[in-house]
Amino acid sequence: MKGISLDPEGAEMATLDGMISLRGRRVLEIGCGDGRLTVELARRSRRVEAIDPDRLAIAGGRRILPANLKARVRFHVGQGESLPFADRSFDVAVMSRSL
Amino acid sequence: MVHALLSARRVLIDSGLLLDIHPMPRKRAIFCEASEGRKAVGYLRESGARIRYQRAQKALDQVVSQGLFRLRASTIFTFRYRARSLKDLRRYLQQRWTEASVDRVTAGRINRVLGSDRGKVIVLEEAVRMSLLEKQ
Repeated sequence: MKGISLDPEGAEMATLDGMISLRGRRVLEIGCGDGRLTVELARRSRRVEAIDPDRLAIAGGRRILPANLKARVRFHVGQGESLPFADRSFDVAVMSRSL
Repeated sequence: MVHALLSARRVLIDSGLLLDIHPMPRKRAIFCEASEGRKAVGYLRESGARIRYQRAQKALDQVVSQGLFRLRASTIFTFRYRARSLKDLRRYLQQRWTEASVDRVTAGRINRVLGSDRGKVIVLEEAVRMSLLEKQ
């Protein structure tokens, strides 16, 4: 958004990188919002499925996704309480401000 | 909230990992920052957010106590929002956050500190907890 930058020091991803390696992993992001974190998760993992109930936010997420990451990410409109995915299909689930 | 955690658990492989990130139920501080340092100007006015984040932590504690997940790691870091002007910060809060605003007293302090110096920025800080849980 114009005039505001979020986490310019990269504290969130530095903390995440210190806690877990996403390399080669299948990641589910529950409550992806506008995709700010999705991009960073995609850079680090094999594949990201990102879900959020807000259709407009999802559209924003699709817009900001760099072309080189598009094949790695799929966005879904839906609720975290009823995930449209098979049992035991992800290595990592990420919930950022979505609980 | 526990429902969402149970849903996440279902789609995780055995020993799969759940990473949760949510703000601590604390006041968010606002500063004005320039090359010579920074000055505290107040706190964000919020209603409801702290209760929501307390509930999020309670839900995590609950699935751990039930033996559904094991807590592997947890840490707190500072997340910053950097705004070029009070107008930008207010627009962001209005569009992205519910029940959060900059009150008139804090806005007055911001305007006094910022003055006409275009090099200064407004920084909103929040303490955020990141927790890594393993499916049991």
